[in-house]
Amino acid sequence: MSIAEIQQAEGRGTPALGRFLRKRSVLGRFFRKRSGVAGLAMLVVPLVAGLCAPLLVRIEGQDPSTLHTDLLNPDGGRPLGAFGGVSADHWLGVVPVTGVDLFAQIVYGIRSSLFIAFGASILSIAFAAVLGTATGYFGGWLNAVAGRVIDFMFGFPGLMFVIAIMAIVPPEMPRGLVLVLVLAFFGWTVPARIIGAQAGAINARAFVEAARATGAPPWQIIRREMLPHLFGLVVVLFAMSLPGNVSVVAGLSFLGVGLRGDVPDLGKLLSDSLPWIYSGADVWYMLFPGAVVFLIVFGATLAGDALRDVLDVRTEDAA
Amino acid sequence: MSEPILEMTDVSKRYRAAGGFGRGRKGFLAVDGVSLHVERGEALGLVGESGSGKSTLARMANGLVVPTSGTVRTDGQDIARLSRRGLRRLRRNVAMVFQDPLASLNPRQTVRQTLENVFRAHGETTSTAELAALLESVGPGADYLGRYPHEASGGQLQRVAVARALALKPALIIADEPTSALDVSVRAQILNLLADLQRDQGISFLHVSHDLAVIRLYSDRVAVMQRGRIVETGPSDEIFRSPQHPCTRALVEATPEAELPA
Repeated sequence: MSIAEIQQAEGRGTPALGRFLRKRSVLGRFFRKRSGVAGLAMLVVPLVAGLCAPLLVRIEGQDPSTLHTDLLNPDGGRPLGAFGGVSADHWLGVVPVTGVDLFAQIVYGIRSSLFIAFGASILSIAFAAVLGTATGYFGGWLNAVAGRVIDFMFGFPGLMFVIAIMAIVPPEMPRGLVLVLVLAFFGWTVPARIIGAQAGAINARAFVEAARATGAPPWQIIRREMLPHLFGLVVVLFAMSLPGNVSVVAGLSFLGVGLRGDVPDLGKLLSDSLPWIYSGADVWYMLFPGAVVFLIVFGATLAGDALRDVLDVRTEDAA
Repeated sequence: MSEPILEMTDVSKRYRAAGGFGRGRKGFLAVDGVSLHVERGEALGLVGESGSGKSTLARMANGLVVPTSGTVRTDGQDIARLSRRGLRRLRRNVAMVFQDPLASLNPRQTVRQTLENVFRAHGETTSTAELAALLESVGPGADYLGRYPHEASGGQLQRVAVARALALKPALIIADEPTSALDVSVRAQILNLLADLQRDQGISFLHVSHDLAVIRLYSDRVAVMQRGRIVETGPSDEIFRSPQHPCTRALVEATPEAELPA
């Protein structure tokens, strides 16, 4: 058999094509799940809107800061017109009292909320992946120490602590960045434990022992034998940590310890809209940003669930 | 006579009980003061019932299991004195074939990747032609290079595992029940392959099995283990003809071929 023939046979046999089809089939299965596609759409539409915020707002012909007091009822500051002042000029109406364009506030708000949620999720899952893989591979005292630290973090009232920290952050510090760091600090523990358990199970499998017996160095074993088996789990954990972080960011802004006053933010819009829904004067002020938060959180949860089913993290390689 | 390829002197292995604090938790003594040696070019069969410590003992030969006490000299080097690097270098010369090839081959790697990784572990690269020749020398054609483990039969996979063991031209191969997960129909083929390697390439074997019939045909000498100790050792035919220890006798009697007319 010549080398050309071997390579030809191999090409037909599988690697390039086979692996492509394999990946395709994961995506294919994902796109055949209706809940996954719906979730992805609910996540992607607001995401794109946030990314394209300046463009969209320019198309609308507005900006996030101009006050349109002429559109407000002089008695109490309620927007004039139906649905909180929805019109061709102001697609989602205007904010009571100030008359700022609500659509512009929301798309810019998506930007800051998602930036923080993504940043916190990426940081915490990356750290969890590194720590989990290391504890799974090396075990021993590293595993024992990491395990006790995680236990300690479990017993720690994380959300209280976040609120307290955000309340005392000096005004000159970038609040967005602080939020990312603080959320990441409390977000790595559960994923790290899950990844660590999975890495330990893989480390105990025969093919890892076989690689060790050939004299493979630790890094090669981690990189070539273990990481490919952990990848799906890491992706799923990331997808599942995202909605939690989005709602915590919104919640913190709602409590008034999120982003600074002049930065548009979904949670802050919700917080500001509270009195208007109590009095029933302007229901729409809460409805629009609330729907967007709901869409993102629900969409990310659906997509994460579907991804977990498709990658079948718990029973992988069973076939 | 040259130095044995493997020489174990009074080795023991105690597994500590999980969370073993306090007195009275002595753990489990898997190997209890065993001495054995494998001459160069020789095939030593290690038999015993399940849990007798034979797999643990075999894994001490290449440092996968560290003995609690005693010394292991493999290929002339005291394993306890080797650095991590030294141990990795030693494993070039001491390869291993495992029980179930479907478990011992990474399900996400093609045969080619599995074989390439053996060379990569020692900073070497190989050509497709070399990999093809390596694979063909043990049976499967070069078209197996592109296959994943689930795309091949158990017998062909175990041949791939043998190819992995042969990749770095070892002096000693530890075969841990290399046929007990295979169909009866392909067992003999794999065993003949290993026997050919011993005869043609002068590779030494430490062959672990619970099947005395297999050991008899494919080993020069036999060591019988029971509860962590070697209870009997000697040339294969002799052990088979006149077993001394009750444990050996039980194993011989449990071998169906013993009742066949000669």
